Amino acid sequence: MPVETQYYLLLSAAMFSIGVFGILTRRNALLFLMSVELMLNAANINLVAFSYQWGNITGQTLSLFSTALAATEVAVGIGIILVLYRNFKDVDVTEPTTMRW
Amino acid sequence: MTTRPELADDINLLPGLAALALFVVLAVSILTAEYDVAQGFGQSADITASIGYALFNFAGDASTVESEGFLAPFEIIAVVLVAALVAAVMLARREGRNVVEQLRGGES
Repeated sequence: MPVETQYYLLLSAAMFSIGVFGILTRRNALLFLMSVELMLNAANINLVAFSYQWGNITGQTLSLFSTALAATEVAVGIGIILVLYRNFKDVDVTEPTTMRW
Repeated sequence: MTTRPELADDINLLPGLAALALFVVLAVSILTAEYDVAQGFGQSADITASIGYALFNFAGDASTVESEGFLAPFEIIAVVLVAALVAAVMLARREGRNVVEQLRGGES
């Protein structure tokens, strides 16, 4: 018997909340990226679950595109973290607030 | 003397409570909603092939599961991926000395 749709949605909500929690509490930039990944993949779970709910493959195909966008986001994010480390010798996201004036 | 992990008692509970409240609101709205029985894809559906056809706008011709066409997003995401790759290289590049000098010089 297949899993009912609302349990997929619960899993997705839990993953999204864990991502929000990580973004609110972590100070390490790499853990920030991981939390953003969690939130994006929660959206992917929703897309696939509703794709099964309606018997239509559009959601699964769209989730492939959102995975590709997540990959681009990580590429740019890692580049920014690299520059951050080069300038501040640290990947603490609270450190660059000294760049404000 | 051995050390053991300790619970931090000087933390701010607000972010955790905010995330928990978000989850509770989402869970309540999910669990109280009404759902039809999931339609599924059927036994004979070829899902991977159908995704492949959908990516190139051939969804109506040969695929066994209905879908929209995704050719335009496919091309757009290709441009976005190249742009992100170039941006990552530009960010990670060191200023000043060029690559050839760096390779000849030895030290970083």
